[in-house]
Amino acid sequence: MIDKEVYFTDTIVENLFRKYYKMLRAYAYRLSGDKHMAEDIVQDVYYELWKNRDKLELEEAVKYYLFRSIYTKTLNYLNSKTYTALETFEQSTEGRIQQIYLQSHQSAQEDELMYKELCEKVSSAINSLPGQCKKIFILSRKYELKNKEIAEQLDISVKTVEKHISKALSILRVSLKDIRIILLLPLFL
Amino acid sequence: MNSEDIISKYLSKSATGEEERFLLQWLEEKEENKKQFKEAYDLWLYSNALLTDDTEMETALARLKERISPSQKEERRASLPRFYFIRIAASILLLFVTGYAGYRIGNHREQPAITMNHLLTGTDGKGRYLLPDSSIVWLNANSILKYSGAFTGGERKVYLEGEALFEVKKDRKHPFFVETGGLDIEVTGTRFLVNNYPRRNRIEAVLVNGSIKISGGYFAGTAARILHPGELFTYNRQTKQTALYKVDTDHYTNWIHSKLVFDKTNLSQVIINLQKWFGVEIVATPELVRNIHMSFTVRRESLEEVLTYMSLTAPVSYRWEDDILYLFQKK
Repeated sequence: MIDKEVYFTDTIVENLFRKYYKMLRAYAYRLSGDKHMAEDIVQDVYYELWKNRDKLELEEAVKYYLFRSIYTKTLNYLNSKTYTALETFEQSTEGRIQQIYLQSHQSAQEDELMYKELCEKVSSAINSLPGQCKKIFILSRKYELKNKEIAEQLDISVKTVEKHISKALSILRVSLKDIRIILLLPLFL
Repeated sequence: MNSEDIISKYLSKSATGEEERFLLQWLEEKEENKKQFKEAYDLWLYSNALLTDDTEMETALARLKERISPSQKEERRASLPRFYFIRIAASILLLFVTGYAGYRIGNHREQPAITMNHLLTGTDGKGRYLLPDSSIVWLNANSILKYSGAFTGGERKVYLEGEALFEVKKDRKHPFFVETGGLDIEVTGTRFLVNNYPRRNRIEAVLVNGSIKISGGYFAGTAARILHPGELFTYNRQTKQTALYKVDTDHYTNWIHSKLVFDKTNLSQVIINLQKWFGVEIVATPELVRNIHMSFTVRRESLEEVLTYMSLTAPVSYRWEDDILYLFQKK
């Protein structure tokens, strides 16, 4: 949690960069569907955070602030490119689903201890995924291939790829159940 | 189809419009569902963050620092192409300007000092430079380009060790020479590539457009050779053999860009690109490369990452021997 009295220093900005960059880039990529755009958006969000570092008073979790900034920037980009005045991104089904996700961060609280523990849990859970399932999940999440591309590369059907990814996600979710119960907090907060 | 499958399809952007509408409706049903969705979405982003290495993040951080550092750099940045910044940010780039005495003994007239310019790139460095005559040169990693001052006397002559793509400004009266200590290339105005790493036996010249004339000490006595666009000329320092091939020149020059894009590209062409991008020698048998096509993009990934990816998606494995990378069929 950020104390209102403490403003951001260069070191704080750098630490926040190292901590959230990859996740935010993945988020911006999921939203925009464009890798270069995603990188530029995250870059701009941090630049603005730095520019306003003396003025910014956050009454909310930094993570929510960062996710919301990414969301707003990407929304502007999407509305100017893909969506029209007749149906804006906010009104589309995709937009409404994304708003539900964004809002779920609002009530979340940061927990430093849990963050580290989660890193380890997720890494080892990914490592112990069954063979083909692991391979497909890595191609999707590490190399960011589309399901269709994975299917082409491995010469299997798109349906099989989808099944494996869904299976991987649910195995990971289950493996994290214990620590969520112990800490009595929602995931990744 | 259950909710988990639909969430997973949604996250990988392959859900249909109908599935999206179903998901939204399901989410609005109860809080419990929203929680399940958030957990999966978080995992989606989280796994990506955990699985990717820090190279891209460090480059992005360097870019941010560059951006917030005092504004004296602003001007320089604005005038340089994007390529320069992406590739040079973390690399060593040195520009030596060495002057040496320009006075001739026994002659009272002062000669203008002759300056030798050395452009050097390090292991991670690639750069685009403007020569005094407005010709452009892209220098690949581990290369040296030497030329004298401002091309005094109208003579345009450079000496290259390493690899460079030249875009030579047209000037019929003053031909442009590239010397390599093995091949000499004479040009009037054209785009071509020269590869001359001292540790390798092979010297390459690839002509993209225009025309170049190849001659040089090793050819003494034989007629100069004229290259046509799309031709690759090679010369082996050791065996003194020469060869001429027809090639798709793009694969020889893609390294000047900020990324390599392969779209169902044949493995043999992928290899040419990777050799230039990473500055390594790669050997594979014709039987292996013939039937393998690959699609992927290289931006800031390391060679190890690319090799891991290739061996995951194609029946290829690899082995290093004496600085040469051998690719072979996975059993």
